[in-house]
This record gives sequence, structure tokens and C-alpha cells, in this order.
Amino acid sequence: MRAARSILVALVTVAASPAGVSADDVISFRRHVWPILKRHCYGCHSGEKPEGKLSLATAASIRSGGDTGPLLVPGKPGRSLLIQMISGEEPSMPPKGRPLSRAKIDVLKRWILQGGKIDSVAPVAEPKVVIPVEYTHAPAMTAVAFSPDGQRIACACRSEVVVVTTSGTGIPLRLPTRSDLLTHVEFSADGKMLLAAGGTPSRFGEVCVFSVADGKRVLARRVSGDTLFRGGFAPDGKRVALGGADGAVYVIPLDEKSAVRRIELHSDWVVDVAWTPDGKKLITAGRDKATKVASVQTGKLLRTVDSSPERVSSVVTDGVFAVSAGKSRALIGYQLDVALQNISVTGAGNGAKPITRRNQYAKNFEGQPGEVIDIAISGNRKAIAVAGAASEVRVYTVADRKRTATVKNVRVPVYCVALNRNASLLAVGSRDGYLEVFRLPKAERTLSRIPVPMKKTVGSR
Amino acid sequence: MNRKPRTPVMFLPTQLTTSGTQQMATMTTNRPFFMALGFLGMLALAGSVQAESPGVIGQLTVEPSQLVMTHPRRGHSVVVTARTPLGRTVDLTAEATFGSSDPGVVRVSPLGWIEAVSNGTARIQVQANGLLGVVQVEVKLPAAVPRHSFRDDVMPVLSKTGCNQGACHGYSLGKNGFKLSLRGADPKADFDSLTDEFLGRRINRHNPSASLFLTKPLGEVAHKGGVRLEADSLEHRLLLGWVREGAKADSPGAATFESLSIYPRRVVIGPGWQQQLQVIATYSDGSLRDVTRLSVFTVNTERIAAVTRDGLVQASMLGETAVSARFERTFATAEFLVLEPREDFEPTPVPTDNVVDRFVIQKLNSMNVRPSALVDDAGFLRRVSIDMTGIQPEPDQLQAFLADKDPKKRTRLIERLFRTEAFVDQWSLKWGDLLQNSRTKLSDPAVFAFREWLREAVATNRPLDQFAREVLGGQGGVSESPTAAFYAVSNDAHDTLQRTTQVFCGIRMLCARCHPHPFENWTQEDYYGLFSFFNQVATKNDPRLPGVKNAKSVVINLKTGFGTNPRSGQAQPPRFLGGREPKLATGGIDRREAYIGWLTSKDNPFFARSLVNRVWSYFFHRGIIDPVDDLRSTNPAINPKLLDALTADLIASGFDMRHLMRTIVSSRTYQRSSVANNSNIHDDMNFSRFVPRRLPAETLLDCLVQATGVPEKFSGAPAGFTAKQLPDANIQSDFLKLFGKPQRMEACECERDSGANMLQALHFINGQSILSRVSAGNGRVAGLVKSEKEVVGLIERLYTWSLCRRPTDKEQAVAVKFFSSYGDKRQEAAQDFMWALLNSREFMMVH
Repeated sequence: MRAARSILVALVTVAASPAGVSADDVISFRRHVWPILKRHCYGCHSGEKPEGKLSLATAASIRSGGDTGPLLVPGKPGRSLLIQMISGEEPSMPPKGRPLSRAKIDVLKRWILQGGKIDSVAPVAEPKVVIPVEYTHAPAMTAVAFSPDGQRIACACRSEVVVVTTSGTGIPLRLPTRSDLLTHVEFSADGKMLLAAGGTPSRFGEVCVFSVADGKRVLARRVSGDTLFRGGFAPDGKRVALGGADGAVYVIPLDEKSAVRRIELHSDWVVDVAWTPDGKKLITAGRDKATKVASVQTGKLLRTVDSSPERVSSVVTDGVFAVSAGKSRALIGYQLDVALQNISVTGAGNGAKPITRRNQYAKNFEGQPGEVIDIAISGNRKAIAVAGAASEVRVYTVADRKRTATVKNVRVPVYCVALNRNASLLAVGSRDGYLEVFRLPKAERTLSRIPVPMKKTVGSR
Repeated sequence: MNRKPRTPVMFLPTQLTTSGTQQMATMTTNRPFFMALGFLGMLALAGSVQAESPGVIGQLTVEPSQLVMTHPRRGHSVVVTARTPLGRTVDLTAEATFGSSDPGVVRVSPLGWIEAVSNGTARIQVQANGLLGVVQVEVKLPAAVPRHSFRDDVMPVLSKTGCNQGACHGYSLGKNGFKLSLRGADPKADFDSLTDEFLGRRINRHNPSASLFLTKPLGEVAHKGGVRLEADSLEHRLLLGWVREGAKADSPGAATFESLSIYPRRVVIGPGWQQQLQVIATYSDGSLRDVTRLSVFTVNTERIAAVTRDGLVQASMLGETAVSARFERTFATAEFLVLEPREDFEPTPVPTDNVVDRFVIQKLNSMNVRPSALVDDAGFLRRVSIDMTGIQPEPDQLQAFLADKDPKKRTRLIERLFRTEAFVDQWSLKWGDLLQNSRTKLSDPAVFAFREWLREAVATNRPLDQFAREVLGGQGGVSESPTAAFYAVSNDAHDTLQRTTQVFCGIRMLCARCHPHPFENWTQEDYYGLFSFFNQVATKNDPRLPGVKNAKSVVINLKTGFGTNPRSGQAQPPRFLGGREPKLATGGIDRREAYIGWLTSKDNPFFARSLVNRVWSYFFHRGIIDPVDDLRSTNPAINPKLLDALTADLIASGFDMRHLMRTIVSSRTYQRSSVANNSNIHDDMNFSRFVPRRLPAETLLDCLVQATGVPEKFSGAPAGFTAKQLPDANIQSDFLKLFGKPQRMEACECERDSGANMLQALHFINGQSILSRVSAGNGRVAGLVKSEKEVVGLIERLYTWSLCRRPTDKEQAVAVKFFSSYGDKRQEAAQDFMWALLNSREFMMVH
């Protein structure tokens, strides 16, 4: 009876083990090697900051190896770093947990012995982006923007952009992307182009530009290893700056070829970026709780103007003030000229020595009723709208920090807000997928709809 | 928190110079100690694995035998067992074959997983080892397929896969921007962070399998936590199903989880055998759910058994252990007893005259273990003297005891020891440690006043409930109340509640200050509920002792309101351990009184029980629950009936500490020899033999002083104080430090280091503590060399002063030979000889 169980266990072990390949088999990277690497190594050796700079994400990066050199010496398992790291009494890898079984190491050895060929270029299949014709669950609205003339509103609905008329008439224009999660939409200053940015979490970031007239995609560029976050067009309209998950701001030229600039500023996600109107400075908000100012020309940090007790979600600027807020519910304006007084960047950079103190330039707005998720600034840069977990959206004048309008009973949580040029219209996008438009300052609701088509039979949330 | 769990003490074998080697060899072969036993035990085990082929008798036991299935997705396991003629459990689940009488109603997998198909009744037929069993199944499915539940489907998976454990996203700051509540304490917060944070990036409702929440643990994208989820596993299907249905919050009013049970509760198996566990959750609507695959299993003693992720227990060594299953922050525990087959075992007659022996023998019989014989008179005299009074008997006491023919002399000895001053020294030292009476936090007068109070309480045998009432009721400065020192030691109310709970309830609450306790269902509500009893207590400088260091006065601010639970931000009303909240005014009364009343009540489930366990541990190598001040459901008592009986006995005696001690030391269990027999050689947990332990620092030093006749001078304490009488640890003594005297900075028994290390051994071999004492001109050795003219007499005196027994004939012969090798250098020979005796493990251990 015991023996029977032992045999059963033995059978199961063989079936589950990659050692199931017999001695003469040709080892396939895709079929035999990759499952081992994926299970034991890929978790750390992939992504934005792979451990030891070794990424197993692509065939090329596997071939080139990491900090300590190439992984393989084809034909020589004993001299290959891969085998050295995982074998021995106390193998260096994996750093935690059980060492690889002898059978698995054997498969890797034989693969190297046979030449270590990588027969599959993309070991990790990229998931398809699904954009249903009709949705069962309304996709959360993750970004919203007015056209410069205020006639149209672009909504990011998870993976697609939907452009509706502000009056609610006509058929919405649906613009699918290959990003799982869009985080930013914005019309160009002339209203002809529509920017959509985002990406697929933990895989890539992407920027798309559509021609508004015909809905054609005119540009798509992939950068970074995770989604891009919010940001915006440079005042010259030729570049966009967007936050990255690796702590860098990505300055992306709107053509296929010119180099993308990475400006490393934060120790965690850069969740929002704002240009000063002169195009010389970038204000950034980070999940590392910091609000920072950097020079566009040099790519250097000018000053960390604030460190919040909680993560910061959004930042806007009119050129005089930068305004940021986040989970801590404090909405704070930073007077840039005072904050940056006599700042000079020396040496390797990031060595600026500020002379003013925080209380000389930080000006508190009134406290917010809930976590702030988005701040919008009007086209004329005079008013801002502040929204988030609370059921009201508040509108302020930047210069005097006075509240000018309050829109109550919005659908919570609000993920995104937008103001038109002169702040007479407010667009609110919520997690439940609704777009609502209000006329300011009286807060009359002029539109309330889910912009994507919904299946009729199924109720939405 | 628990830095040093108490383990059976093993002193390192000391290296000896050539002159001593022979003697030591003789002595140690005489006294087999635990270490050698343990090794032999392992040898014996290696040969015995799977020795018995488990022929089974009688019927199959099929669990469950009846089953009502009301959920289309929730299957149920079957555990099939039978018994051997020797009464042990054989798990036949893996060998059994299963068949359904109506696959249109229920189907069953080859491994015995039952799934509902449609409404009706059917039978699952089980066959194993030629025996038959049946599960009656009734299927009553609801009209509509129930939605996946965040609370009941997703949360258990987050625990099972380890996502919310402390090292991962359960860490207080989360990991990589994603935070879950530790072990699922806060489902609402977890729901929000999963579905809502960062624009809902973790969940994709219209492309569920692309959700980051799934691709990360599946290992499809970079995940520092590695692969936590197998594709298409039960866990994966539950998470995916929930996202597919829109990742919705639970509708209010749904049935909630209420309790957890485990099957089998108690298992007796052989080494190398297996047992599948089954864990059942009960919900508020009365429905039962098999959550075996969603439970997290842990084994308390890993060398005894291992448990797989799915609850299959594999026994490896003889002994016993608890296996705990955790589901929804609730624990259920199964006891495993791993036994050698012993067909010739004859149970020991169960004594009825002593409550200790009765339950210890019952337990030993169930384990096929015979207890060791009783220790001889000399051995008992030394053991009980050391344990009760912290000092060895002197030779004339030994002489008198051996010569005494009264059959009740052991009982009389115990009564005599109660009346000694050393008894007061010994137990006021223990209380002083536990209550942290120390000049580190208290003024000099306060320490001595509290010390005197403790001595008086011990000397008059103050009932323990009254003792606790007075300790916890102190108020004012030294002159008003010596026991106010208890509060003056605390930094704040946190300190006080943790110390009080640990000392008087045996429970460690520190974890629950910041998050739910990981091994017990204590929450921050429970913690701050205790806090609110003590947060009126404050200390200020004692105005009557200006300029005196640490002079404090304990004041009660009656106006202070309840404490605030940081998680909810709300005031937490006082709450006793266990959940009851007494109706107390927020101000104007001293809330400690309610606590003291609850604590010292006869019905208190913690007070007497924890004290019994603690006192027990002072007389044995471990508590009945061990560690002694860590009582919780996941740390079950090794002998619950024994603990219950002693607890009831203590309460019935009116919390009489001496009555408890008397019951313990009068028992045969306490008086067992440390020599094992072939049936209890493996057992070091059930008190079937006396397991030697190292003498505590103070006892060791006092015994050394007594044996050599050379006193120790302590700077920082009044002259003439023995080590046990020292007011606290703020004295200069390398010896006491080296042997682990606690600094009284913690209310934990673990602060006393009872372990052995190389430095201690070196100190005994080369240090002045022994060398200078044996060679002192005015010491014991010098005196005996003068007074004892005959070598034989000298040897006997050296033996009785050092080891508290006479040498055996063989030892005597070896010793005589040793002395003759020194020629006329008798003084030198005697010094070397006593040095060797004091370096023996026999001297260093209570055995």
C-alpha cells in the first residue's frame, strides 16, 4: 500500500519535471528552458529595473547578460555564468527559497552544451488588448480633455479614446489603442491632433497621436517598461513630457525617429508632469511623495519644492505657481520665483543649494474633502479644478487661491477632470465610466453619459 | 519579541586536564544525560521508520459521512481513515477509490473531490483496503449561480498565496506601491487598493486575464514576489472568476464566516505515515464549506512532522506536534502524536492520589511510554532543594535525610523547605525578575521597598489573586505604596498593558499594537481596549524625594478618556481579553479596578491557568504550554487535562501558591529519575522522565560559594548578600552576566538566558570563580584537607559538598588511585579533585 503511493509520487514527479526530456532530445529554449527561467528567475530579472541589470525579457537581453557579463558560453556549461550561479552547495541564485532541482539544472546545462540557441524571440507573449464592440462593464474613465474650442471632449476609456461633442450630439468617435491602460489625453493647441498616452502595466509605455479630422493614428511610440503617466504637450507643441514608472520624465519628440530624453528625478513613479508656459521648466509629482522642479535644458533637478506625508497625484502650473496635491488632502501652491531664488546647479547636477525656506514660497489652498486624484488647469491657465475621492469638485483661481465654484454630488471616485479655455465648462470622468459636463460657475449639469456603447441587457455599475 | 525560546538545556561537555579526565569519565557514564539520549533516540528512529505494516481492522471512517451541497463551485473533500489493531490512524484517502451512485447529481474525482452537478441525492461509494464506506450527498443548488465574493473567494486566496503576508504586500508600507492589510485584516481597504488605486490599473474588467492582479502572481510580468499562482489552479480560478464578474464588492447581508473546524482533531500515527487534513468553515447561514485548499497550514514542531500546502501531514520523528490551519484569520488545530508501534506495551496504572501523576500517566499510556523510576533520596533532596530554595543541601542535611527512615520524609522535607529563608530569597527573586524591580527605572528606595514587599508576600504565602490586586492597585510614591513600583517601571500605558498581560495572563499583545496578531485573533480593538484600562496611570517626579534618581510617584488622572485606536481613529472603550466590554464611565473612576476585578475572578480563563503553567515551568524543563508566557490557540498545551486540573485545583485552593508547588513537587512526575528507559528515550515533552537543566546564574553561584566556602563580593549591593538576594541586576558580576541573569528590562521569561555557551565552559575551566575558590587558603578544600586525615573520608566530603551525594564504589576507587598519584601533595590533589567535580555537568545541572 505504501509502495503504491511511492510509485504514484514518483510518476507525478517525473511528469511535472522538465527532466522528462530524455537524454538525446534536443533541448528547446521555448519548450524546456523558458519555463524554468520564467518560474525561478524572471520575477526579478525583468521589468523596469531588472536585478543585476540582467533582463530575461527579450532574446537579445538574455544574450547580452547583465552586470557580471554574458550568461552563456555556448557549448561550455561549466564556464557559463548561468550554471555557476545556480549550482553548488549554496547556490547564489535564487537568493531566497529552494535551489533549482538537479533535473532542471541538467536541462539548462544540456541546452548550453547544445549551443544555447534561443528559438523564440518573444518568450513572454504580450496580452492582446481587448476593446469590446459593446461593453459589459463600463470602463473607468482615466483621462479627459477639452478641445481648444471647447466643442469636443476626448475621454480615455481604459484602452480606447472616445471623442464626444460637448453638446452630446452626434456619434462618438472611437479611437482604439494597443495600450491596456491610457492615463492621459490632450488636444494639441491647434486642435488638430489628439495625444493619448499610457501603456500596458509592467510591460511597456506608449504614446499615440491621432489626427482629429479622420481619426487616423499618425504616430505610436513605445518607451519605458511600464505605463506612462500624466503630463502634456510642450508649449512648442513638438514634444510631450510624460511621467514614467522608473522615476524618470520621458520627453518624447512627436516623430518616429528623434531620440527620447529620459530625465531621472524621482525614486518612484512620476505620476504627473507640467510644463511652465515658457517651456523652460518641468514640474513633476511623484509617488515618492515629492514635488520637484527641473530644468528642461539641462535635465537637472532645480529643487524639490515639497515632500508630502503621502503620495502626490497631480501637478499643474501657470508659470507663477505650481500647484500639487495628492492623498494627504492638502492642496498647495508653490511660488516658483521664490522657491528657485538664486538656485544654481553645479557639478554633476542635483546639487542645487536652495536659499529660501519652504514657508516663504508654499501657499496653502483650503483643505480638500478627500484624496485628490486629479487637478485640471484651464486653457488660459487662470483656474484649476480639483477632484478625487470626495463627491465634490472644487474650482479655484490660481492667483488668489479663492474658490470660485463647487460642483456637488459627482460620481465618486473621480479619476479625471478637465476645464475648457476660460473655465466656463468642467468635464468630470469617474471610475464608473461616466462623463459629466457642468457649466460654471453655477454647476449646471449639461451632460451625463457613458461614452462607450454598453450591452443593453446588462446593467452597469 | 520572543528572542530566546526556552529549550532543554544542554551544557557543553567540558574539557578536562589529564588529572581529571578519568574521574569525569566514570561520573558521566554513571549519569546518562539528555544529549546522549537524544542521539541514541535518533539512531533508534532511523531503523524504525515504517517498521509496522498497518493492517487495519474494523470499518472505514469516511469524513464527512453526510453532505449537503448548496454551491455549484464549492466542492468537498473526503478523508478516509481506518484503525490498526494498536489503535493508530491509517489515512487511506490516497489509496481509496471513489464512485458516484448518480453522476448526474454529484461527481467525484479519483482523489475524492466531490462536486455538485444538479439537485437531488446520491451516494459516494468509497472503497479502500477491501473495506467500504459511503458519503450521503444531497444537492440543493440555488436557482441562480452565485457570484464570486470578494470576502469569501478573493480574500482567502490573498492569504493562501501569501500576497498579504508580512514580508510581501502585507508589510506596513506595502511592496512596490501595492499594500494589502496584513493577513487580510481589513477587506475593505484591500478591495479599494485592488480595484481603485492608480486608475484601476490592477484590474481589467473587460479583459480579465490581462489584469495586473493576475499576471504578476502568475509570473507573466516582473514580480519580485515570484510565482505565487499556478495557472488554472483553484486559487487562479477564484480570482479570475471574480474579475470576470466585474470585480464587484460584496452585497451587504451575505452570509459571513463564523468558525473553523479541522478533521481529524487528534491523530495517532507512526513515523513515515501520512494524514490528510480537512478544514471546514461554518457560515452565519449555517452552511459548511470545505476550505482545506484555501487554508494556510503550519506545523509547530517541524522535526516531528511536515505539512504540505494542501494539508497533507507527513510524520517524520517520534513525538507530538500541533498542526494549525488558518483561514480568514481564524485558526483550527489538529494534534499529531507520532508513536512507535509497541505491541508489548503495558500501560502504567493510573494513580488517583495526585492530580499531576494522574493526567501525566494517562497521557504517557496513550503514547505507549513508561515513565522512568523514581529518583533516589540524595537526588531528590538536591533537586527539590535547588528548585525550591535555590541552594544545594549541605552534607549534614544529606546525612540526616539519608538516615531518616520515615516513609513520609520527602513530604516533611518539602514542608521544611517552605519555612527556610532561602525559599523567600528564591521566589522573591523570581517575582522581582518578572515585575522588573530594577534601579534602571526605579529609585534605590523604591527597589528595596518593593523587594521587601515581595519578600513579605512570599513569606506569608499571600494568595495570588490578592498578590495581583495589590501589585496592580499601587498608587503614589514609595512611602505610600511599595507596589506602585510596578507602574513606575513602565514607560507608558502601552508598556503597562503589555507587561500586565504577559505576566498575569501569559499573553503577548505587542504585535496587536500595530496590526492584528499573526498567530492569534487579537486585533487592535483588543489591544486598545486593554490600553483604555491603563491610560489613566501616569508618573511624575516624587516631590518628597527631591534629587533622588528615578524617584517617581504614580498618579491616576481620572479625567483621562479612553485611548484611540489608530486604525479607526475612534476612542476604544475598555475591553477585556476575549471581547467583553464593561460599561465604564469615560472619566471620574479608576478604570484599573474593573480590570483587576476581571483578572482575579475565579472565572478568568487566563490568570490561574497562566500562573500554573509558569510555576510548573520553574520545576521542569518546560511549561505545559511552552513558551510559558505565550498562551494562544496555535500553541496548545502538551497536556491540556493536566493544565486544566491544576488550574481548577489552584482556584479551589484560594490561589494558594504553596499548595500548587506542593502538588507539583510531591508528585511522582517531579520525582522521576533523569535516566531514561527504552520507552521514554524519545520523549522530552511529556514529563516521563526528569530532563536536566542548567542551574540558573544565581543558584549556580550560591552553590559554588557554599561548596567551596569562599563567598562572593558584589559591588552595588549590601555586603553579605547572596546572589539570590541581590536587589536587581545593577551590580558588577561577570559571572552572573555570563550565566544569563536577566537585566529586568522585559516582562518575559525569555530574558533569562538558560542556554549554554563556550564562554561559560571556559570560565569554569580557567576562570577565577573556581580556580581561586578551590585553592583558597581559608576555603573548603583547605579546611577538609586539615580535618579529614583519611583519603577515603576526604573524597567523600569533597563529593558531598560538591555534588551532594556519596561517591559510588567505582568512583571511590578511581579517586583513591588519583590521590595516590599525587604522592604527598594531598592539598594539590584535593584542589584538582574538587575543581574536576565542580566542572562536571552533574554540578551544573539540576537533574
